[in-house]
Amino acid sequence: MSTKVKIHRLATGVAGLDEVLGGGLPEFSFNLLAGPPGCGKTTLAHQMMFALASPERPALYLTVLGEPPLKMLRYQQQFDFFDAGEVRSSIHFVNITDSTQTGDLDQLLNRIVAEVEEHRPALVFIDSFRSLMLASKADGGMYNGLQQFVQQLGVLMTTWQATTFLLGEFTETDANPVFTIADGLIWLRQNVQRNSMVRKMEITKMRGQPTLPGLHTFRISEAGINVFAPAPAAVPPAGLAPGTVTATHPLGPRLKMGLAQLDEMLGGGLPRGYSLLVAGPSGSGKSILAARFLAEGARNGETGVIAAFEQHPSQSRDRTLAKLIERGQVGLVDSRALDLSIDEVLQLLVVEVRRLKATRVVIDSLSGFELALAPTFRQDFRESLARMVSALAAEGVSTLMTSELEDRYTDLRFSPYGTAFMTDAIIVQRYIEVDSRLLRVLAVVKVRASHHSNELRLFSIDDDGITIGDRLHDQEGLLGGRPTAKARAEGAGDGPATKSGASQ
Amino acid sequence: MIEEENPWLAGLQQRVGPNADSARIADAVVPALREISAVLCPVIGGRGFGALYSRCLHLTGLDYPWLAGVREPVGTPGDFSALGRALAQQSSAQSMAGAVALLQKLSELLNSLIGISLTRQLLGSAWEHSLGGSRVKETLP
Repeated sequence: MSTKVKIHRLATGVAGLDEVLGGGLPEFSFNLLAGPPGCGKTTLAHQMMFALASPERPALYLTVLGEPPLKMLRYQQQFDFFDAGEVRSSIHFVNITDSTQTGDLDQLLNRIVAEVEEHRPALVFIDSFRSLMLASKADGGMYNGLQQFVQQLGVLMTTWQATTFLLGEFTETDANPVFTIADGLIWLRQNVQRNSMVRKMEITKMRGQPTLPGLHTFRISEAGINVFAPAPAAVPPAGLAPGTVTATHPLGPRLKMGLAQLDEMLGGGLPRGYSLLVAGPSGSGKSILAARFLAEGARNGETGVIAAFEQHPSQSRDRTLAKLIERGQVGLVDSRALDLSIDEVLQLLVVEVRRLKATRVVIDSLSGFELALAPTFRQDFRESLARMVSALAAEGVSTLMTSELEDRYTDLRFSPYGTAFMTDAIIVQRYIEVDSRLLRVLAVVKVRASHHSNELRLFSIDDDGITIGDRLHDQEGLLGGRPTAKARAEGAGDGPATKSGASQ
Repeated sequence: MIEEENPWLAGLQQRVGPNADSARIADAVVPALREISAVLCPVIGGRGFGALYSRCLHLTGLDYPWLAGVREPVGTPGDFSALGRALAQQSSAQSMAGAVALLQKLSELLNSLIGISLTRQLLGSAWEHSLGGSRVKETLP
């Protein structure tokens, strides 16, 4: 039996925060919530307090200068988590501004101790600690006095078995003793780029547990703070090189696409758990193909999720998709919020996938998705997308992503983002000119570890949807956009279409 | 001014009894305010409560000018001696009406700032205790 002390971790009640913290907040820890004005410190503190406080585990919220308590209470009760019924039973608000008037840190410490003794809190919040320090005589050179005060406060709170939070408008360049003494440093930031503002959180220190490093976006809504923890990286199966993105399921029964000819071209449908990129120029029928993919799933009793970044499905020409959404067979992730992050969209997708037990996901389109992202995330779009594809594969779903692809007849490209490598399968659509008509062709370019067709097949779109036709037997140079009639050798036939080997 | 069914009036009348003179009214109102300040001062600070109380006196003073001139000693939250003197100097009808209007205004102001449920949560027991029973609390606000 281990004689080591076990540190209990408190569930903060803030979506995503426990994951970022590495499993919750260590009980009796002494923490700093820091960041500029308006970054969400007070909201984060209140949300955690209302989640954690109970009559057996009361909270003490000490207000010092800073935001007037009346205003703080006025604004904080706008959030869903604020329960007035807990005030004075589980949660005690106490203003200690009058004890800061003299600037005497000993007097201040005594006042804090007196309040702690009276209310016996398990959770203590001091808002704002920065104001408290500025009001003290110790500020402005008396670093040692301040350090001693913070150290005594830390010792007192820990021995009182109180999990403590100091809130303050600190900057990381401050030489502040709090940074050294605190067990946890949680920084909230507001990243402004051009006209967009993105909130980010960073845990720079949390003693005794591995936090998720890096900046994590969060959003504040009526429900409070939601932190978008990054998706865990999928672990590649043995034998695959690290970083190889692959489906989690071996090739088994395949998903039907809703078009028998396309299933045939894919080598029997899309292997489960695969990601499929459908690339093509504007109007070529990518969204219709995606809708057909979801409709076929619904026909087989499967559920799906679509993240729509272009036209709203209810306005779509394809009424089938709108009906599927109405019936709850397809979940809609229709985030019109500004300045999205990929982690936020991924979280929305995963929540819907788990809610519906979905097996099919559509992202329509990557181009619209990129535009919906805050500028700060666009430069990392490719990396983030790879992580998202990997995370969706880890959920066990098959993902179809559409991608706008400008027709260039001088080169053969599949994606404007270099995303081709990260998907397991690719279908490309193109326009060609034949006999003064703009016709559509499609081809299966890749199906990882599977045979597939190498044909370029005509397809058309009408009121009934997509119809895949035959090859243009008598034309060549289709990829140049302007095919020419083949010179036919006498007696020569077209012969059957050949099947390529498996894509690597 | 004050309607007969006003719960504050009913509460205060219940507290002081019938035919109470203005001194008796003052003796009931001042402890009630002390109790309220004892709840609010720790939460919003002495200065915060002082500002709230001054605002109530100002607003109530529009109808009861003798309240507008009430000034409590600065920096002594919980001291309502000036109000007590002002109440005691009025006729019992005026004293009752002014006191009820002041308490009602304090309640309205708090409701508008921090909402009904939080006001009730903070002050429910103080109202009930100091103003005689559940009638005021039930109608709060």
